[in-house]
Amino acid sequence: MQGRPLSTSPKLKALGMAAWAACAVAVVLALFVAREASADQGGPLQRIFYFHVPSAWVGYLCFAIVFIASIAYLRTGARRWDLLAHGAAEVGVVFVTLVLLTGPIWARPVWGTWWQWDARLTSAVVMWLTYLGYLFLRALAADPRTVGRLAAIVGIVGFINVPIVHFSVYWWRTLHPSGPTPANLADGSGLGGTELLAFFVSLGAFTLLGAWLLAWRVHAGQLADRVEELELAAELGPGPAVAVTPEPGMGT
Amino acid sequence: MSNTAWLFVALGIVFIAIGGYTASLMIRSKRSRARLEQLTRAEH
Repeated sequence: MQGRPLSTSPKLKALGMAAWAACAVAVVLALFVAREASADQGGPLQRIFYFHVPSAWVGYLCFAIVFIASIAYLRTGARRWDLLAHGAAEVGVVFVTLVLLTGPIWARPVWGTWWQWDARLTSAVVMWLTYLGYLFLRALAADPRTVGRLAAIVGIVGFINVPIVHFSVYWWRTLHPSGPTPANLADGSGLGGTELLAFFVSLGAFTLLGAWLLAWRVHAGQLADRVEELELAAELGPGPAVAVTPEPGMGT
Repeated sequence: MSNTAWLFVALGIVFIAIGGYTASLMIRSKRSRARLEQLTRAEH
């Protein structure tokens, strides 16, 4: 393992507290401040939008990190890039799973069905399966370091689908809405000031949450690497001394 | 179920899932740290 862990405990704790505090504010704004949508948009159920879209945004962001970190890993071979890519894929899959679970809850009363195989939904499922496959590939490998290069290729190629998911609503006729529109004063539709505030606070809160989970996931990966190194050194018997820096507690 | 009830179901799913993932990271870190301490003691 190279160097010290990327994240130190006090920074992680502060980031976590900021993320959860921002989430609490976002929930209050989304539930009590933003105007309720019209009945044809699901009425109160439309408030899912304030959690569904930010989850998708964090998923995209994480998969972009997988893409960049995978290129960096193939170029440098540095384990820290591999750990970052692995962690980002895991966090991204968590958030995209939430997208795929919350979307149908909104769709059922509005579309009259839980699911439609339209371009957005289908490409999103393909994206989710791609990164789930990436995680299975890594989980099945006996030594996580040997699978790094293969996983990096999957992480780079898999990213091709991410812009397709995003632009699918513009490229093809889909049932899925193309995105929020500015407030229309004539009929009161679209997003007004309070809705935009709730949306951007939620977007910021979920971004912080994603960053915190990713930093923690990388930290956990570094600890696991260090354990593995020491176990290997213990198995090989007496040899050159292994320098061990005790890890500061994260208060967990 | 009413739309409001479904909204709370969706919110519950979001925060329980994120909380669950957070708990899994906590457990993984704790286990690694405990094992690390054990190995460090054995070294000495």
